[in-house]
Amino acid sequence: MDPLVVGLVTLIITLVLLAIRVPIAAALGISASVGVFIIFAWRPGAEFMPQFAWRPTLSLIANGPYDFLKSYSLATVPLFVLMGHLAYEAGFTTDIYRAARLWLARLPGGVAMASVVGCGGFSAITGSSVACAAAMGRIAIPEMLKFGYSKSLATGSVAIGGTLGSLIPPSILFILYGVFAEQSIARLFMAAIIPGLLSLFAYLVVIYIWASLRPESAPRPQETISTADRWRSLGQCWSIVVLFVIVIGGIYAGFFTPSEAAGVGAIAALVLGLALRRLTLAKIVSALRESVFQSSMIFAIALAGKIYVSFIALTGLSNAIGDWIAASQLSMVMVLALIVLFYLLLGMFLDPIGIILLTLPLTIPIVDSYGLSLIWFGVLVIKLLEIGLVTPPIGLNVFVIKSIVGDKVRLETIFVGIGLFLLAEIVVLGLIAGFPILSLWLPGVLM
Amino acid sequence: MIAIPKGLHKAQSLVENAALVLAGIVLLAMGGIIVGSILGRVLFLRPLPDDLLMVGLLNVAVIVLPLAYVERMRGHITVTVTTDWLGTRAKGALRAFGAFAMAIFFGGIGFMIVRRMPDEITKGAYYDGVLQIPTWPMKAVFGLAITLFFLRLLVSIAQGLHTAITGIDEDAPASAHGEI
Repeated sequence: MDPLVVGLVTLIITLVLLAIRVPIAAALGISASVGVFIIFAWRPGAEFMPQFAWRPTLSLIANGPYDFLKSYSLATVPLFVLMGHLAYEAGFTTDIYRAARLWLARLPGGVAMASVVGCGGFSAITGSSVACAAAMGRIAIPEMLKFGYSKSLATGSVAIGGTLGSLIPPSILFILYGVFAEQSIARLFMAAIIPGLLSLFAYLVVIYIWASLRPESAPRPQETISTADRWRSLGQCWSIVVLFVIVIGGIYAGFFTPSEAAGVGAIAALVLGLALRRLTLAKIVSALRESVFQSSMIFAIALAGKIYVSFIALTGLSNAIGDWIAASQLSMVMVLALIVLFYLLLGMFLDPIGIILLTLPLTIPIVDSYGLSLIWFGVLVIKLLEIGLVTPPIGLNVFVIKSIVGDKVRLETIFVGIGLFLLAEIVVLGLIAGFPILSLWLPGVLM
Repeated sequence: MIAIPKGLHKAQSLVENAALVLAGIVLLAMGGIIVGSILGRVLFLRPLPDDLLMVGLLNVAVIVLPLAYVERMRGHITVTVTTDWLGTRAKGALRAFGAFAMAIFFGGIGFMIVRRMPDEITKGAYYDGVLQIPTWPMKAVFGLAITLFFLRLLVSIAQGLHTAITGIDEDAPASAHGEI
């Protein structure tokens, strides 16, 4: 049987399994394992000979996942997750939000702006968008609702702000992209800084316009804030700055690799929390439990994805798509537009890690064949995945916010709140796609 | 719950909780090894021997030990939006099928890893490095964790079938983490 046909059929079976609630890990793993078996058992032009398929298939299952988990560079993921959880438990996240709130209080939509800036700050020490939205949602949304903010602005701003978690380094998605696309994780981290800040700025502009046009949706808090209060609040953010400088500064200065930075960051967060007497044993245990829980969830999919990637390579599906694109004489812009649409569509239904593992074997060779930078493409892909986190019907960040606000706010209201921000996302996406220099300048200068 | 004695169920949950906490301690140890190695490199020009290998091996434990707990909390990510319109019974059947698929996949991996262990122990196989760390101990941890996970998946299958038959999902945790 033609491996290409096996690839296409398996892809369809994977989607069917996903649609009937088979966990993503099992859907990817089983369909890829069966696909590999069929490719070896039913070679083109030959009879069905399963005796030749057992050894390569079992070898792939036996070695692939274990060696994958044993990878030193992937050990970064649970350590970065731990750093974020320890920082949250130590209250560093609240410090950033408080400072941003006091400094931005006078601006229209100041509290919403503070929540977005808080998300940006927390993103600098966590690698997960969902964790970022959850942490800031618990702090900022109750306060915005207390001040009389419209429910859509209060929830929408935190849901969209949370997406910065995977864009601003450190980022779990960039680590996974770097490992699967064989790109430097340090360069990816640097490349994402300007697009991340650009996104943050775009969200602030949206809030400013929203609050200016409809002041009733963002009443200004009636409180007196002294200059001393502002500076004091800023002073309390030093712990976050120290953690960010240790992690990103350490990588940039060449003191340690991104993998080592994760370990240093986690231990630094622990030491800081203990030194400032903000971490108790209960809080540390809670951070550890949450970290290993999330990491296990992520890696269950990733190790199945590893088998899937090997399977896609065997089918020759990526080459076939590349050949088809070459034959159809599509322009580079057209191909990129199709890839963007493809990711936006998948983002509406699948989680970011599943999408990365499912699609990179297909898209990377295409992008590479056009001579485009895979670092820039990484930033573009992660931005697209982040948009997928807030688009219906499946917007993970939206669901996280919904779980925090409970029955007080309807799911539709949160999606409505995100609507305006999505316009800003399209502008930022256009800038990142149209001006690769935004992603490539910083790594070029610093590394 | 169907056909699972309460004591056994409690013991299983206890072991899963312990595995989760152990994974947390191992994670902290990974950070400690990395920092220790950097300090050794900077202060004494001698990093910890085999630090990369040790961290990589410990990462295996961090990931596999909580798998059973994650399943108990229904944390393994599943796309539910396509089937949310179905009734409780149908969802129970799909849950049983999903857990069965997970059991086949992860059980297969666990079996393939563990079956090589006796040979590795006999031959005294070890990873290349200064410490000559044997290959089998982490594979044993992997096997134990996958066994624990497999047992939990069997419980999930039973619970799913129970829901499919009775129409009652009485084992759902307060919040299902992995549903998207």
